[in-house]
Amino acid sequence: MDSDSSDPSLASRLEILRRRWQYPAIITPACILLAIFVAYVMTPLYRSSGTIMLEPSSVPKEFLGLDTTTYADHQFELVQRRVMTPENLRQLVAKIDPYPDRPDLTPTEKARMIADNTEIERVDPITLETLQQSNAFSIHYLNPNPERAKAVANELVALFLDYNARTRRERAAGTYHFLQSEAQKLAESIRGMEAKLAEFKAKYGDALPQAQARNLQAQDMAQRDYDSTMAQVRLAEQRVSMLQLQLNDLSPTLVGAVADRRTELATLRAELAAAEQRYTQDHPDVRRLRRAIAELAAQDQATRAPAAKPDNPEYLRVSAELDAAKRDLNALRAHANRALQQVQDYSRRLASTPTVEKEYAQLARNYELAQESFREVQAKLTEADLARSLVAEEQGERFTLIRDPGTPSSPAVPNRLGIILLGFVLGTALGFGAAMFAELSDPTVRGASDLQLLTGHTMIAAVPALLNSSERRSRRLRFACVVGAFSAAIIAVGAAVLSASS
Amino acid sequence: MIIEQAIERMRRQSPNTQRAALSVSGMRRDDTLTAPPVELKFARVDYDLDTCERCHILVPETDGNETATGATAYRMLRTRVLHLMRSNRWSTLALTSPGAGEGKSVTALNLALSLAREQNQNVFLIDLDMSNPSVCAYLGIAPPRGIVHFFAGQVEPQQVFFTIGIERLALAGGIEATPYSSELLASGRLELLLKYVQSVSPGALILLDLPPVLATDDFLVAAPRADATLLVIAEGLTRRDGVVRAMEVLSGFTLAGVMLNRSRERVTDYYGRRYYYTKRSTSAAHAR
Repeated sequence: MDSDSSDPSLASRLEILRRRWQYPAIITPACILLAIFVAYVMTPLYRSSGTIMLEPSSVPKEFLGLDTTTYADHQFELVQRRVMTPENLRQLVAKIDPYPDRPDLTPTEKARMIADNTEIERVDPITLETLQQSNAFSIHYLNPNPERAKAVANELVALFLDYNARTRRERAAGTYHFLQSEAQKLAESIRGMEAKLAEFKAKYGDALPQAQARNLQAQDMAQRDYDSTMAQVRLAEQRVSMLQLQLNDLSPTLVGAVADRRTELATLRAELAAAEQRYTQDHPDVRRLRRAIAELAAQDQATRAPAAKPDNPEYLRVSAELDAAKRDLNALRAHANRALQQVQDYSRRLASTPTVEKEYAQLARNYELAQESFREVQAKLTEADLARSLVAEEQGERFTLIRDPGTPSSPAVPNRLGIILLGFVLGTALGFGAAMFAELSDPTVRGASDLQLLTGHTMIAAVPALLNSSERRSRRLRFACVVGAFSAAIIAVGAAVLSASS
Repeated sequence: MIIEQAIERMRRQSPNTQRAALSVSGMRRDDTLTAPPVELKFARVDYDLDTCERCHILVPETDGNETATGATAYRMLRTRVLHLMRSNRWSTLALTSPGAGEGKSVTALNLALSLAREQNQNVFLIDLDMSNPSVCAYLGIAPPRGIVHFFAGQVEPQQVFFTIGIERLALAGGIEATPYSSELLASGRLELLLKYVQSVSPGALILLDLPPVLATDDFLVAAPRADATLLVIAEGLTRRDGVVRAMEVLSGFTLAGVMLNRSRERVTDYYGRRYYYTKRSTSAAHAR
């Protein structure tokens, strides 16, 4: 029978509750009633929701390029902002007035109210529960009238679907046109590069690295040619000088005097030389000999000067040979010069090859790059063309309505159950808190344990508060008053609830 | 309930059985218990039942819930007080409380009524709270001689006591307040009064209703005359600091115990029964 709780704190709490039960007993039901009243008296708002899913394309993604799969992840916000523009919403207000009971508001204000009462959230396409990452989203719209809530939600959903279709078309076409112009630009640039390359080749074609072996060979040949020609030139020069000597010894004319005189002159010169060694300059012999030489020389000069026409056949033959040899020599020299020039030309080409090579490589590289990007752009252009036709044929990714906004049957706001629950929780907390507060702020003695703590003595007996009949009556009356007040409150709240829900 | 009735019947029929039971429970046998209490021959004043009911005085006629719930608790108090007084050979018990209005006089009166129901001793209740006398007022009576007159030396002890038609119970008190209560108490007449009681009824239990501890010095004047003091604390009324201060004042005197008035506690009696005061009592039979 004696079943004292083992937990002293629980026991003391129960003790407090036993003493202060009036606080929770009055405050808690009062709070609940208040919550019920508030929940039903607040203007109910109805929520109509439509859900749109981003349907994946029936064509593999690889064929579609990058920009057609970005909606779900990145463009959700963008779509929302583009669709929920004041302009769009004003048009909507013009079509359906969602707040006919508020004639004091301008269409712009009503548009803003629509925006305020619309909530868009990503949801799971199957369970329709809120989800962080999803390819479906719900559009919720709140309105005091369930029919209008549905109508406006329908319009909003239509705006989204319309926006999607239009922008996708525009985007696909835009991509295609962009790529097209890009391809054109690239083609032009490639043409320019080709021309440049051709020009360069024409200019430095013989110095290009491809021509190096050939140049070396040619240089070698020219060198050899030059060397042999120079040998021939030397032979020809010898012959010319020989013929010249031969010619000098011949008299152009057939008159022999000339030859005699020459012989005599030579003899005289020899005699003179001998005499000069033996005698002084003024020796008569020397003088004589000098005179004789002068005379002879003058004679020879006189005979040779007019030289009218050589008639000596030997002389003529030698002279002709000499002329021919000289011509040969000249020809050979010219040839050698040409050969030398050629050699120099080739060595110059060979020397300039590295510079030209660098320049050429750059040009060629640019050209190749341009060609590559052109090929890429061409491939993309093909894809974009495909995407454009897919969008046109509704084969690409697109918004699909998976839940039509319906007519809500019960109001979403206020969340009646939630408010009542809140009232319950709050009322309980308040009631027990008040009991606790009253207990803590009470300076008077409470209970046997309190008494023992204060006096150090065990209580010998406890006598309850005695009630006489009038006190009992007044207590009953008070209780009846509280019960009556609660009953009245329940009835009032019930009436409010009934009138609100009807 | 049936058992209780049986016990009560047994007690009435044979006091010896009761005494045997007491000795078993560890009480010392007192010689005074062997003699039946003398008959009290004082002037009789009949109490007013309505006033008693209004003032929560558990006279036998008051019946119903209040009497039932209260009687159980007072029976408990009575038993414990008796135990203490007998085991300590106390004859005089002072009742006081830290402040006024904490149910001290009601407790004294109800305890006296309850004690008088025991057949073994006479009970004398003396209202010494002369600055605020209330015992007589609670009974709705005017005593033939006010106790103030006795302290003033105007009447003899035998004149100041009166009975109210309840066996083994005599009272002394008044309805007029006096501002000189402290001086009157210090006059030495109190000893005279107590000696008179001892002489008239040896072995009687004397309850002194003293003024509040913290209000006046009356308690300090009168308490040395009592063997022990019972401190009455009212739950929800007596302040905790008041209790502490009262305990300081009482530290020089024998404290019989502390009792809780207006209690919302549940208590367990000697038999392990638990009483919930919110319940309707079943022991209405004890009322008479």
